[in-house]
Amino acid sequence: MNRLLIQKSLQESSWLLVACACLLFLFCWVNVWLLCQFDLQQIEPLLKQLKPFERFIPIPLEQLLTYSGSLSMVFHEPVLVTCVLVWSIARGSDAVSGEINRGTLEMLLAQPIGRLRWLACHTTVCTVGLALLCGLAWLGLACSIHTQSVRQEVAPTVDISLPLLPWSVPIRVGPAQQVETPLAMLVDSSRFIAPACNLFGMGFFVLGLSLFLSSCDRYRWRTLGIAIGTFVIQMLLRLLSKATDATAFFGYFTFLSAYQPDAMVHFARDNPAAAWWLLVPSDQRTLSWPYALGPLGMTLMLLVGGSLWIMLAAWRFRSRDIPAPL
Amino acid sequence: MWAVETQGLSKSYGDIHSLIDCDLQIAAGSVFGLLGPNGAGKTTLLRTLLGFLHPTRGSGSIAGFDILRDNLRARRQVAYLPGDARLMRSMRGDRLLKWFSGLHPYGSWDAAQEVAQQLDLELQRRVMFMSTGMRQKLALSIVLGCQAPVVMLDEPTANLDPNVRQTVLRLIGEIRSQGRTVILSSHIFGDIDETCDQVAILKSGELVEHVHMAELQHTHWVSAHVASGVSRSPQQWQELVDRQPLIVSHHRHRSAAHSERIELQLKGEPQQWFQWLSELQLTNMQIQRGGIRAIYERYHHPTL
Repeated sequence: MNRLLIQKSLQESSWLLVACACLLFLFCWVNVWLLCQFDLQQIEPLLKQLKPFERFIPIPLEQLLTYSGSLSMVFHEPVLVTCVLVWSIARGSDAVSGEINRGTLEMLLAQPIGRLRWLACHTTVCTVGLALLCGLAWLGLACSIHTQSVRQEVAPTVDISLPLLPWSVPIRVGPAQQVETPLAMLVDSSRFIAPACNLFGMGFFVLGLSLFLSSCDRYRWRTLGIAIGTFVIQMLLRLLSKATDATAFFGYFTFLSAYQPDAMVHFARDNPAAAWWLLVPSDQRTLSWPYALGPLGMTLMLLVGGSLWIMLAAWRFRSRDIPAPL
Repeated sequence: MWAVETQGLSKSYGDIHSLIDCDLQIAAGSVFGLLGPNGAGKTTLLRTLLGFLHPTRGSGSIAGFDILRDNLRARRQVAYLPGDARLMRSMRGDRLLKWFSGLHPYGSWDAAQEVAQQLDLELQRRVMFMSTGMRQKLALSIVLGCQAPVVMLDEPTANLDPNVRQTVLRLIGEIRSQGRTVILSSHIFGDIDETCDQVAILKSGELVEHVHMAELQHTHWVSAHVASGVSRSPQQWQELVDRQPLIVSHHRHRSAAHSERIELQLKGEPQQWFQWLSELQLTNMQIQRGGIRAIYERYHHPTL
């Protein structure tokens, strides 16, 4: 029975999944390729002009002059975030109010299927699909990192040892030359696994919220509206929390405070193991990572939040009356 | 053990009472009709039995399984056709039949295909390209192809042409002959008359009449006006009624125009009571063979 229910859910979501998967993979690939076409040092003057707005991003602006820093911003790209949101909200909202809206829940539950079983099968497909999308986003980045190369200017130098001193001084001996360097030598693609997990956590939270709203409602359009509205409000709260010190407390009221993919890359630049810290010792906290929770802790917080929404959805769906088809 | 049993089953939405203290006992192997106008509570009763709606009070069971405590097992005993059966639009008819027959423990793809064939349904089309009648046939194939002990049908012949309607009624008869139970909710008196063994009439959520159809087979309904100028006291009327042993029930109404109208239910054949009727000095007389319509109209058009 589970197989049949999963088959139905998969069939209904297959086109959306394929579209989002292709888009995410290609977008991440192209993003890296695009980055390789520019000399990052050339955008330094531009970044200097943006200094007053530095507080809106969790990493120092100078980090954007590095390839890993720039690539970490991919996880904030509207295309990528929208893809994940579209999947989470569209599929989450379909579980109950979508089926009621189409009138198909009546015929479905006329079969001896437990409501929780239906919700569990639907949630499983949504979650696996979400994991696949986040995995593909990372794969797109990783594949592109391993196949692209960047042009760097390297000047030939000779090291001259100083007499009586333990130092040597590099001396330029000719004009600078353009050298092709594989991007993989400059950026470690495994650094983006933790941000991809964080993206999954954010998507899972939204998925859980959408499932809950769907379990309470009978109109899908309303579920979609409330879910999107909630996300927009959460985004505004996040912006407010970043705007001034006086409004920083708004950060406690938005789950997006736990979505820090760029900061994760920056935080783990010297110590890759830090990307999987649950908690951060107080002496290790930096301006760009002032939180007690580590990157893994942040992701877990989103996963726990999403799970709580799903539990609430199950409770609501189980206890509610199913209205007749509209 | 009853196939379906309810005790004081009620469903309210605030001040709106959709089902009020419904007591039902439906014998296994019978066809049980639910009759009533829109909003009478027929669908609410079926949907409460299936657990779509949580009853406000009361209890019920299907094949001995409590609808509240053991809802899943109760639903395993049921094949249900909703009043407005909507199916997954992107699926093809044959795939949908196979899919549904896999979901139900009593489901049978072969049987469902056979029903589809009898209903003259083309299964290669996707649901979204089917007409309303074809979708109804597809839903009927899913439900009638299922071998569950209890079959609940909400308006099964809606949107069907007369030939297919007749096939559906025949299939309902076949289900009964297999010892399975059918609960049939319908507005169509013909469907009820042709198939049902018992009928419950609902009005504003209340079960107002429980009729054994076998008893109706040998009765007639007479409705008529009392001729102008004829005036009888209630006592005189009662004496007239008492003289007729074949009378089952009688009602007198006075219409707005002050003309008196009577409705009588009589057993036996008309020649046994024609003589007695002529003594009543009636005009505009209508005589109907015993059917559910006359009983229904007593509750839903009492002034006619």
